[in-house]
Amino acid sequence: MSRLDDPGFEQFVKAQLPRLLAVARVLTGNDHDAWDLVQDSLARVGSRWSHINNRDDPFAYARKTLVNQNLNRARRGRRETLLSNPPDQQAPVDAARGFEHAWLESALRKLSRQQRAAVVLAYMEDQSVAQIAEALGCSTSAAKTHLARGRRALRAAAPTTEPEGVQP
Amino acid sequence: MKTLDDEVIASAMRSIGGRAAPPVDAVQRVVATAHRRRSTRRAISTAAAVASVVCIIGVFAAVAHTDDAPGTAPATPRDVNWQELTGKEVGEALGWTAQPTGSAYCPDVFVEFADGPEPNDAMGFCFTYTDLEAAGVPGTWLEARVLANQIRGYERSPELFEYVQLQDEYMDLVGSHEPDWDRIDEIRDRLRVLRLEIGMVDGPGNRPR
Repeated sequence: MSRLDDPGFEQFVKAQLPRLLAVARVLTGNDHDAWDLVQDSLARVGSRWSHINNRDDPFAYARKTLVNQNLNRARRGRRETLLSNPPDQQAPVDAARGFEHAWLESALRKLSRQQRAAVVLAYMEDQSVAQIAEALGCSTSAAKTHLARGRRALRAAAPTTEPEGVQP
Repeated sequence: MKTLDDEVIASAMRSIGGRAAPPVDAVQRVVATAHRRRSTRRAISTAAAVASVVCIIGVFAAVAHTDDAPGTAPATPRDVNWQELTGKEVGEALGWTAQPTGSAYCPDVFVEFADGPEPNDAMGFCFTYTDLEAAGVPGTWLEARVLANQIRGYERSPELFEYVQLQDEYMDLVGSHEPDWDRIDEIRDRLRVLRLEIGMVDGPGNRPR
């Protein structure tokens, strides 16, 4: 089996793969693209591991790579899938989960890529606006706008959450 | 401040993401892929070093060979310092033909240098990452973008990055199911201002109203 010189990368992948995969699933909206995205991102991280390993937080670097790769893939994909006969809709993440949270998947699909990345980083990874801006490579104000618009759309789509018996 | 809605959203999002452990061989696959990629990068570096030596020899040979008209043959991709070339020179060094950028398929990096045959169109080269990487030009997304900035004579600036970000958001919004037209108008206006601030050469359709 091929191995990297530094076995630390393998440990890193073992530890962080589930978390990265979870983020990727929500970013891409389906399991297949999520796997491709994670694999591609980690391959990039691994090829620079000797530099990244010395950082304070290699996971933050990997997550940023993941987000950027997703934006990058979206740009390429958008241009490559201009078809006269659109294909069928992509499969949901998981049949059961997709049904249970169909409102969220539907709302996420309507967001722009940047908005989607912003809300995923905020909700799933508890990232601040400054950290989101850093991950997206944009200004803080732009990140704030992406997050606010994304958050507004998701809140509007969320099922009613008022406790029973309380009048609105 | 987090609301009850936020907690519902976060919980649903985590549920969609899932946290199940991946198959054991997935880790090995990822590690092996990274290893292959690093080996490839090293091989490319070595090849570039070898190509540099060959290039120096080639320059001496070319100087000695004065029969050929100078400047007629395109440069070998790896002997070019891409960062110092204009976009036009990059395209020419690769032996490509300029085309209207508006009609190009799947362009990742535009380099425009003249007005095109149609209004709002420009003549130029449309680089794809694949082409750039195949030619040995530093072609990752970021590198290509920086390269594009430099070859168009722009400094890396907050305005330029804001421009690129907004342009991407604009494309996403226009292609979305329910376009947010207010935001689209907002972006259009800001892009016009940024074009002027950056000093971008504008076509007729890009001028401020």
